[in-house]
Amino acid sequence: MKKSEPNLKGTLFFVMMIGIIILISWFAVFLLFLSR
Amino acid sequence: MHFHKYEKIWLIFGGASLVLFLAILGFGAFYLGTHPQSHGAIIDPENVEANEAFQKENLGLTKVDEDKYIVNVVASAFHYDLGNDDNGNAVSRIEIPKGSTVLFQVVTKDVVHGFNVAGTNVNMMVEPGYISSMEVQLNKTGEFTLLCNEYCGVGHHMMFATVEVVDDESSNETAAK
Repeated sequence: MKKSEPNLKGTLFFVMMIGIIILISWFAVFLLFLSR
Repeated sequence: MHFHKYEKIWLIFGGASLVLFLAILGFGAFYLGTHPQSHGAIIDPENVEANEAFQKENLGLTKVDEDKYIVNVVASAFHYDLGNDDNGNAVSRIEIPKGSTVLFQVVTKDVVHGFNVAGTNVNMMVEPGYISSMEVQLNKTGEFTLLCNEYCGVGHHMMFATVEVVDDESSNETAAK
């Protein structure tokens, strides 16, 4: 019997959204530090 | 162990971000020499005058070279001692020419204080027993408020001074006339 894989499309989307928000905010703060 | 295809994507993304952040921090720490502002230089908080930099006549702004300045400050509840001017009044405003390199050296005689020149990267914690120092280049003209951002007691909000970054010394003299 073959087990079907769970559908993780929504999980992938929101995990990546949070990751991108973290990256953007990290670089925003870092560039603010460099520019001052 | 079995990983879902998507799971691999976010694990690699998360791991790569972490490596990137650490690489940038490592570059700053080990190559550029960035470090905490009170980095082990110690002083007796009961007797800060034992250190020449914090004797009354050496407080405040001192020009050490062309475009090179030192600012020595003794913080205590609830003011920053920036020395006295020629008339014997306490200094609450310093003017620094734009583009100069400034070394801030700050100690406290009592509790933990903050030392933040708002709008610049000068932001230090001043702990009793340690000399906090930080060297910056001030490239933006304007009036900045030097303030305490560590709650130090009932007069905390009155603990501030002004740092003005002026275009150059000639414009400074014109303004004084």
